Amino acid sequence: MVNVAYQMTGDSELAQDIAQETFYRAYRSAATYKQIAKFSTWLYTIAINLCRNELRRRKHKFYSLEEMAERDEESSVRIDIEDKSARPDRDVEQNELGRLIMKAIDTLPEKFKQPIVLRDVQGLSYEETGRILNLPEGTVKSRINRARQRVKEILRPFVDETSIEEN
Amino acid sequence: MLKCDSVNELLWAYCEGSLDSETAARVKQHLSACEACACEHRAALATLQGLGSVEQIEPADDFLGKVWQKIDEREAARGFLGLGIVWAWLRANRTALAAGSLAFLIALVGVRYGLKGDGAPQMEIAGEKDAGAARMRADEDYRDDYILRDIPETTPVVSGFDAGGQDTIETRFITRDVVPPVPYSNDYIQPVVQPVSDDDSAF
Repeated sequence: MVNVAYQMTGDSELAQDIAQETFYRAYRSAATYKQIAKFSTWLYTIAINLCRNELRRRKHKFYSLEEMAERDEESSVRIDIEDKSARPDRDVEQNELGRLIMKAIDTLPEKFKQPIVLRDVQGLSYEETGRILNLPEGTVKSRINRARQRVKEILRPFVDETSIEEN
Repeated sequence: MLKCDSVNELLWAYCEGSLDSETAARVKQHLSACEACACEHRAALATLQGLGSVEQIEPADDFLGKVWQKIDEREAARGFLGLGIVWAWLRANRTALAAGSLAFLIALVGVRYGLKGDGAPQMEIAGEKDAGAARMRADEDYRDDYILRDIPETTPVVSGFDAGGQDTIETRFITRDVVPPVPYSNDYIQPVVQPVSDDDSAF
């Protein structure tokens, strides 16, 4: 839940607040929860709605994902993966790729950002993504493919280089 | 063999492994023969891998504690929902309330002490003004009726009889200084002004 909010807003502190608020809302509305969907789907729906509201409220205030990455790097909040790898050069590439991807996601309109975060970043199914966003599965697939296409174009220079090196 | 456009449409599904085996085989065959599509395939795979490995953050150490704290605080606040609504209303209208209170206070002070005087704002209540005017009229009537007209400043008073049986007349002075203020009382004047009596029994 924290990560969904994080990917949607690009602000780790705001993401923590939204996640907390999500659980509070769930606690408050537990009596109205109906088992027509998974509990996690319900939570995601609450979180996505809170993110949407918060982003609209903070439209002129919130940090871009790129700024967030730099900010978190300074405050040592980011996950340190260097200790787990024997290839520092590879880690640098991964960090660079991560920044590029976050930047690419950040440039997406909200209606494309939501499904790609849920499907490709969080790994939910198309069906569950559709339920969370209250969209038909076909619409979800269409939006995700368009979002992927845009992210791919942004990543293309980087991907071409690494592909050549790997090959 | 599939054309490039068809392969591009199926590329994401192929990368996800959601195509049926026959279609997947045809796409694979095309990719092995078409370098442009193979390049797109590599880019698509890298994109999906990159999206799947986007930086994740962990919940804060005291995440659950904060959730419970929020629940406790909000639930406690709901207990004072009525007060909260009143407080919210007061906060929302605080400017108007402050202005109204100030105006009321000024009006109250004005009524109590009467803002009169040269150049000062006149804030008299009609009733009070009328009462003042009535009092002034009564004063004038009193002076007209009892002082200026009926009570001359020098009044001859019969105080007794002399040896020849003639009235002894003294002149006592009644000035305005000894006239009591309103309310006028005849008793106050009586000891000073003695009417002439024709009754001789007292002598």
